[in-house]
Amino acid sequence: MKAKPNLKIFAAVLLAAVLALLLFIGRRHTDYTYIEQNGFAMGTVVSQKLYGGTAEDAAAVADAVSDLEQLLSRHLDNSAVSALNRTGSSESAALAEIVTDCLDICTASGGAFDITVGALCDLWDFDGGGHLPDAADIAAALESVGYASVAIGGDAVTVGAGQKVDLGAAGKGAACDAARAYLEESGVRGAVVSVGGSVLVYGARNRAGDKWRVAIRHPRKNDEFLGVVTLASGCVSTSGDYEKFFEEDGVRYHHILDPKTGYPAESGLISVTVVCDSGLLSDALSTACFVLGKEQGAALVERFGAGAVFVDADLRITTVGNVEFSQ
Amino acid sequence: MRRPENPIGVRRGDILVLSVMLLLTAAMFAADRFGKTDLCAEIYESGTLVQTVNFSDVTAPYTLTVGGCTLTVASDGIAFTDADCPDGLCVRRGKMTQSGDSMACVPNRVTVALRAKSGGVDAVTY
Repeated sequence: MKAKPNLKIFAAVLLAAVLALLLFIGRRHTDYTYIEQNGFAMGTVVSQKLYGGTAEDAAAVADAVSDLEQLLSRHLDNSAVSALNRTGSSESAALAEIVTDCLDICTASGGAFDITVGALCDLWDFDGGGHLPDAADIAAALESVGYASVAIGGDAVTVGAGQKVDLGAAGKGAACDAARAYLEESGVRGAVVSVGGSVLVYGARNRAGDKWRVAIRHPRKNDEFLGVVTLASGCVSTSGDYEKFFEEDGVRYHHILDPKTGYPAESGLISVTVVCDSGLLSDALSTACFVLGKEQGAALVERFGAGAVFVDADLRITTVGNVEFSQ
Repeated sequence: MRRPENPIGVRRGDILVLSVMLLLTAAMFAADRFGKTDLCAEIYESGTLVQTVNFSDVTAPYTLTVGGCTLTVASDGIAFTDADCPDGLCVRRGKMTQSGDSMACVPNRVTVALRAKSGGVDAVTY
């Protein structure tokens, strides 16, 4: 016996409702189980969320970041960078590899990113709260700045007389790369690792394969996000004038120094977020673009096949290259 | 006496079941999208979770002391309001209200992360 047409409609609506309900319930349970860990390294917070990972995986990721700190920190006496700054040379292959990558960005940015700003950083002392140095002291410190004096020969790194290498503008991104190197060898399905605001997203967090969502902190409103970058995998780093700064005589001095002037960069940008596969590149490029400004920064981002979100002093937002950004 | 012919071919009970299903589905979507916040703050000291604050339970602002830090909790967010750290970056950070956001007093090893059961972002870059 044939069903009446109205009964068919009724059955179809009922089926649709059931499917919608199942979809809704199912969607709430597609995420893989995860473990979470918060710790401290590189003078900042290291947080990680590992989907399909174990406590041993979390400990290994934390170790990878700590190991890199032992290599790169200028504030640890026994690090490779401290030895380089003390003696003028290093035989660490791991350091040579990172310095080589950094020098590529130093060159491409025309020195807007420069790893030899250690003496300037000491002078401004933003880690200790910051203070305005004498102009003569800044001029003296600038004498030691110049990436062209850094040389690589095999595993050896040498610097010019009196130069101090500071990898603070690339180290947190490099830590994201170190974390990923472990994750790729592990059974972890997906992960979010944040090293002081440089973020690695890796793999998948759920069966649906949803992209990761990384918010950019608003440069002028503490309790708001500027917007959200969406990506399948990769690294996201931001340089902004709002994170570390001090005010003196009504003037705001932020921590991103222009290696050419020795003073905080004044390019018209107040926040730069860079998205790309490499953590080191995203971190270093965000600093370089902040110093260069919108036009030259955009060209640099395009050159490296990255994506970026620029925010200027009037809070105008410009996206560049390969980035999926929404407000 | 004969019952009148059913003009739409379904029984009253079927319509009731369908209506309940539709209402239930609509209610779940609405609760998910517009419902009361499930936002909470997880407070860690040296990486160990020491307290969880559910903002829907906060009726009036109050303070918490964790490590060398004072945190002020309100119904819509949480802030470091005092700390004995040298740089004061944590206090300058201001109030945090968004799921997925986090803040820390690094010298005191105190971190605060905002979580929600649904929505929010995976991480924040700054």
